[in-house]
Amino acid sequence: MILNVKNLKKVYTSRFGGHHVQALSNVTFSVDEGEFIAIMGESGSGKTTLLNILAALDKPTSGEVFLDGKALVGISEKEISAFRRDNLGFVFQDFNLLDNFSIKDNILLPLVLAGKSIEKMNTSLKPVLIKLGIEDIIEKYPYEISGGQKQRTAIARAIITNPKLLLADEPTGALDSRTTDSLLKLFRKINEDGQTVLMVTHSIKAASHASRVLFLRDGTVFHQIYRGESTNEELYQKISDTLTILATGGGFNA
Amino acid sequence: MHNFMYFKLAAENIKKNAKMYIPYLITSIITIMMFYIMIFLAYNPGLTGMKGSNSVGTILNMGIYVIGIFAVIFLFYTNSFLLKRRKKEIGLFNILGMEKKHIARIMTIENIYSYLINMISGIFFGILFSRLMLLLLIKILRAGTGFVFNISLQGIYITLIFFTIISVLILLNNIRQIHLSKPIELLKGGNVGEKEPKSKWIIAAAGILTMGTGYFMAITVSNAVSALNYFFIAVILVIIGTYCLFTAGSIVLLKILRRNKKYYYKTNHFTSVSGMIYRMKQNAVGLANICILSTMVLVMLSSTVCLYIGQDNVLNNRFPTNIGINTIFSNKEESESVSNTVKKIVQDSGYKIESYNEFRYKVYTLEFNKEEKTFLPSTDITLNIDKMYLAYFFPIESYITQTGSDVVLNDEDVLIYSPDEIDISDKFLIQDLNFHVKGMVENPGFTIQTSGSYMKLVYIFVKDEEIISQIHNQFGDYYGDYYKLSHVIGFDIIENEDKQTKLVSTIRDTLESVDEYKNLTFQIYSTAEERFDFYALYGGLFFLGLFLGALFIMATVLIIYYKQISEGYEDKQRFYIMQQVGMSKVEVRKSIRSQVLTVFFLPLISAIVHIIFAFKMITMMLELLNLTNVSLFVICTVATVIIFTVFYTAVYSLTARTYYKIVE
Repeated sequence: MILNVKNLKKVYTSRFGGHHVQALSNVTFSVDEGEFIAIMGESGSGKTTLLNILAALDKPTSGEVFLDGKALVGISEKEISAFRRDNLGFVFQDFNLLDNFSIKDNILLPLVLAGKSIEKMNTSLKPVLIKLGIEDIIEKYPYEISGGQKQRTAIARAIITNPKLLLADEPTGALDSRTTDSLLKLFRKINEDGQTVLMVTHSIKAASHASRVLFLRDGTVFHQIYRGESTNEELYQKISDTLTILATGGGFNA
Repeated sequence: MHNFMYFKLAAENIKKNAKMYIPYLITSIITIMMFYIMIFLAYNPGLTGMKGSNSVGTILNMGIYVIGIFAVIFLFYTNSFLLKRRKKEIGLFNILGMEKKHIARIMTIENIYSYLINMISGIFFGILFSRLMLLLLIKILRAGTGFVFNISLQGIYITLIFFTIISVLILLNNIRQIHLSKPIELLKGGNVGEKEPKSKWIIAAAGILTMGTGYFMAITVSNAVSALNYFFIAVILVIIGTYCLFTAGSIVLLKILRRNKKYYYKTNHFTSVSGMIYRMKQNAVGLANICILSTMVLVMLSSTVCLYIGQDNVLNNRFPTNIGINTIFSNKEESESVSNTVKKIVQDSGYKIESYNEFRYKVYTLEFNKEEKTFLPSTDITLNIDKMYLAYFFPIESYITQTGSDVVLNDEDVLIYSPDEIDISDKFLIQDLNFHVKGMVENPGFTIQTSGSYMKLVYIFVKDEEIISQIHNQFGDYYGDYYKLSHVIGFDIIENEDKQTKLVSTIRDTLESVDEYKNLTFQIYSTAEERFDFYALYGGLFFLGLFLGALFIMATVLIIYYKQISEGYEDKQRFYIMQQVGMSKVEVRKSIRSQVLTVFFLPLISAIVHIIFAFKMITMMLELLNLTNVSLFVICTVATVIIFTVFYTAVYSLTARTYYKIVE
């Protein structure tokens, strides 16, 4: 078990304390090493809050998160950046590349921040570039390349540190459908190479590439689907059905 | 859409953009206020009655032009800042279905609002503070109560016309920009041109060349006349150099750092080098502006303050005695008669003559050839100013009377005095005449009143006036054939300035009414009268220096403020991403802080370097204004720099708060 989330609860309080909003009421799930998890849910279901807590960018009101056996909640403010750098990789909907760095430097950023040597950087860089097929553009700048290339760069940046967990937030949200397909295949490939992936999305297509899909509603894990032996198309159908039931207010139990 | 909507929207827009708009309004109001006050002062009826009003009037008029030109440039600049920040909002209006003509209408109404606010408050505060400024000017000029305080209709009139024209031009420019742009570009507005700059080797090299030449001129300048000649060239070269080096030089330098992999791929250097490349590209022009404005403030304040403090020193240099009577061209008998008449007038008035001196002289501008030890006539002083001497020839009796010396000279013998260096020791020639230096004199016992000390001086004491006429004759037509000598009487009386003035006018009236003297030309002065001219000139310059200094400082503050805001918006996103890829909040803050510090203190440091290089040149130009007290100028400059630095730092830390508020 690489990730273990127990009874996570998050309440936002408005500035003057008058208003309480419960984003997560009780979330419990676990992820095994090598899994590809998709988390689905409508807007306001708590997806982003959950992801922020997993990324150690936000703290839960109560409950616990263990990454590879280490409790995230207890890590001090000082260690948290190093922890994030060493154990987590991030991919975002809007890529979040830095315009003032070349593609190569964007990818190397986490290694530079970790104070690695140039030799180490070069040996880590090469396989990642090949895996993502972006060897040709490394001297370019983010504003000179396409959306798909930007997202590949962002993935390269996320996996160059060999993180225990790759977190992806709507990674295909800003891409056209053709680019989306090839990018999702890429996620599968990375996952098949042993990388644990946790992806938040509301695209059925994106979720249909996962090995397991969790559904969030009203701040709890409402239901989950295992891929089992299903093909992508079959999984797509199952997810679609589930969402229909969710939308019409039916009652499953996780 | 109802017209009412437009007015409401326009008002809403101003309110919503208060963070950008208020500083713009304040700047405009202050500029208008200062423009009005300058006109009010320059055309004040009290000025015409004042002594030395000419120089004050000229200086203040110059101030009007400077403020005018400055207003045009600066208001356009700040407006473009405002417009750039707001493009997104305008694009949104456009996409939500407003046509460009509607947007233009809202824009027009907005501009009318701000125009009205600016004009009314600008003129109101102008009238309010004009009295204060008038009092300050009177105090600085040490002038009497001739000035009158009124509301200058002329000032209001000119101000209204001038700033209305500027406002209309700005509005037209805004409308033009909106019409030319596409909505999608407007939406992106705030962050266009994020391309990393190409290395601009040529521009950087040009910058080094121009700046180097300017600096070289400034430090190798050897005399006041060439300082004056080269000053503006040097200033322009350094300004060009500053722009080139800020825009291209900085980037070239940073790219060289980036190319060095060992250096670049270190945690600290990585973010700061690439961050700085980005920042310099966005801000180089603004920073160069800050640098040049700061330099101008520093030069202006330090030199005018120095002149003002040193004006009594200047007065003493210029006029060795309190009262002086010069007779241009007179023979010996006439001179004797004049001095007797003057002495008699003073005695009849019952005053005691102190530090009396009297001498006759002839003066030539001569070129001195060091190798051949020869003085030759020349009038083209610009040609070879280093070799030029203002050579005063005196009969030795002037020296003997003043010092009581018992020296005896033969026909070829001379005594030499020079406050400047002169390579002369034994024998020398004046054209074809041979002379022998009998001795160098430390102190001739009197000073000649000179109008400017930009040429080297040499006093040559010869046996008698006969020798002087021999020297004159061999020059031939070069200096005309009129070889009478000039005659100078100088003395102090220990009485107050009113009495001095009265005495001088008695002397003047008497000398001019005596029939015997009707062929003579007199120059009669008293420091009591001249003082006012000096106060008018130096006080006027000082006032202008303070006034414009304040204006430029305001401009600097505003540019810094706007830069902080735009930097803040740019950094916000980067700050966020950096945290996600594993930099702690503290690290990010530290890195950004050091970059922002570098960016904002670079102009100040460059300005100080400019001042250091310009120092020698400015010192020489001050000499032309008779200010020779270099240590006073050093003190004034250092003090100005320190005060300005403190002020700059204070402005920086205040505006930095706005920055951090945006970023976090």
